[in-house]
Amino acid sequence: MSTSQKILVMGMGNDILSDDGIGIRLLRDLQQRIKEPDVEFKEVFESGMQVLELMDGYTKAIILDGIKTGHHPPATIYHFTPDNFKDTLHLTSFHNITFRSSNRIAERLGIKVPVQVHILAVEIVESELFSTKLSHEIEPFYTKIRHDILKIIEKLLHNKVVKKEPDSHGNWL
Amino acid sequence: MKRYTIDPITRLEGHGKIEIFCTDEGEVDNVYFQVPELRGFEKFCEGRPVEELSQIVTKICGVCPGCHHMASGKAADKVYGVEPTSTARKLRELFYMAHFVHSHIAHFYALAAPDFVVGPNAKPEDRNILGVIGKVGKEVGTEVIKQRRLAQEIQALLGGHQTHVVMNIPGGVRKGLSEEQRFDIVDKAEGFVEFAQFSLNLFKDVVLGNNDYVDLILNGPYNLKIHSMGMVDTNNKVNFYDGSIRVVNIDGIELYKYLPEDYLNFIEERVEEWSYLKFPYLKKMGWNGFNEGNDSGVYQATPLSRLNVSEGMATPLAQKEFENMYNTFGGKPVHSTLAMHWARLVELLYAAEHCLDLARDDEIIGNELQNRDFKFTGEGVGTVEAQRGTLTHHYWTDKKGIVTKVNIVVGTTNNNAAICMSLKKAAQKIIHQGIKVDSGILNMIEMAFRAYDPCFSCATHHLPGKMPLVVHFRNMNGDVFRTIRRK
Repeated sequence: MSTSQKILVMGMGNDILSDDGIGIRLLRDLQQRIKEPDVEFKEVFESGMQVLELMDGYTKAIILDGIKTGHHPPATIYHFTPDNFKDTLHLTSFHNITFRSSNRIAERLGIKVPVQVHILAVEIVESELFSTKLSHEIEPFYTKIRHDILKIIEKLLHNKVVKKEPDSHGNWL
Repeated sequence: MKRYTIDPITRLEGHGKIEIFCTDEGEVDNVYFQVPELRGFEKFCEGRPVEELSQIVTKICGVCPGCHHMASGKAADKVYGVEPTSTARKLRELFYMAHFVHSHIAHFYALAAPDFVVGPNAKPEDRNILGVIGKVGKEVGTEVIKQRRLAQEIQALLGGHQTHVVMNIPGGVRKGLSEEQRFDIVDKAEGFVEFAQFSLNLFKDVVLGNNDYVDLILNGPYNLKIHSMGMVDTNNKVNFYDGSIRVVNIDGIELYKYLPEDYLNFIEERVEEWSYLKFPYLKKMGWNGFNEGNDSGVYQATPLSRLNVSEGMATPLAQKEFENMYNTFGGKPVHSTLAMHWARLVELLYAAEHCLDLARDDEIIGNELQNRDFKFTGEGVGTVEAQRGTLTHHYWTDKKGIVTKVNIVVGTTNNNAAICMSLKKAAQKIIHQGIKVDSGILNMIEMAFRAYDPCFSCATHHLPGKMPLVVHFRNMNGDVFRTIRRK
């Protein structure tokens, strides 16, 4: 299969900044569980335009990141696409060149981006403390987060319909 | 009394807030530039083997990880009492030049150009990199993205990763360069030189070709007469990777020239209760407040100050642009804050030329990658010029090389006092009674600090562990009348 037909799963964040690294931790764990031949995994520490460049050549990209909205309980999972995108922790930075701006720049310049982009963001609590551990608010939920994210990714990989909002208990499945 | 708040500041990495206090008559009384972010990085480093730090420090921030990696690697060299081999040093410099090319391109086109190419008073939704692309055209926009990406490819090749670099080890580097890879870098570096020249010409056409902008640079509210700091080689030419720290006063006369390891004899840090970011100043001058002039202890460490302290650039094309810049201003040093953008482009050309020179040097593909003649010292200082100013890492270890203490003075921290003063001066000259303070006016005030290319993600790392966020609101007398505290 050529690169242009492959799917990219990206984990974003800083793995020594507590919950900020949840995207990286999820990616490392899921990489052991997803054994699809067309799926590639990347740990991503960059933001903005660099993220788009990393997605160059893939037909589908799934991004794992943290988010701090304060509107839902910690460990809530959000599923965004470019159409309903909210700024996650690492798709907003690089001197204020956001993922949204990057997409518009790419569109203007004719840079190829994946046809489908899915952003799976986890509501986190702590992103300013240097630590290799998740916060005590997130750690107890990590196994469930990983399980739910894996189920969503498996559906996305096989083009099944995925709910875009959790139920009132924060459950996706 | 009226208070204007710019929060968050746009086109800035990290968080920052500007508070402008006006008198009842509508004149600006004072300006506070506050940085409320704390991350406790130095404490995190303690207890780890010193040779690991060069990999960890790249995670302080994704904006200038290569600078932290270099400063950390140099500090570890000193702890091990070893100098890198000639090939290793050149490979480090090659990586570092690519890092400068990438960063300076990003700053000029994404951060600085919106103010000049699109215009300082343009609508906020147009004053961004998309607006720049709209003005300069798709081909230039494509080239910006391409050249920045190519520079990152060089970093990834030499550093193992473009952001989380794993290149340096005590006395050298982990891997070398093949002949084929070397010629690929030569091709890329030739393109960097061409693009840097293009960027300088664009600056001349768009900025210097516009009388309003020239007036803004020369006579506008963006002028600050303070001392300049930067690293120079043995010929007093600009050097980003190694050399002595030189400080000149507002007349360009050398005050100090010292080795990086002596920094504590020349730099002291002051704490102001309204900011988590410290205020370094020249120790021998003393802290004389937020004042300009030769008696002040305030200095700047920026692309402009690096040129101000030097006697030129070490590469021919950059040297011509150096001369051109100072001839245009009528001599050296220059104190116009907005001239930092021009200086940054001169540096871009130097970095591109030096990248090319290093790639053409046959020693760059040598096999001697590490000097293992260790003479352990237990303490080391590593200093480089980061894009945002002089960056120093200082490590202390026990006899086994486990880190016991870390001190990091980052580029933006050096400029904290200067940024505050530039903001106050700009605000006082721009905001007056009867002036409608709209987004364009506030942007013109932001331009005063944007020139410094400040980045606070790694600047506020001084206190141990987690720090509660405290926000003070002050009246005209500076008294706190409200406090917001995050537990």
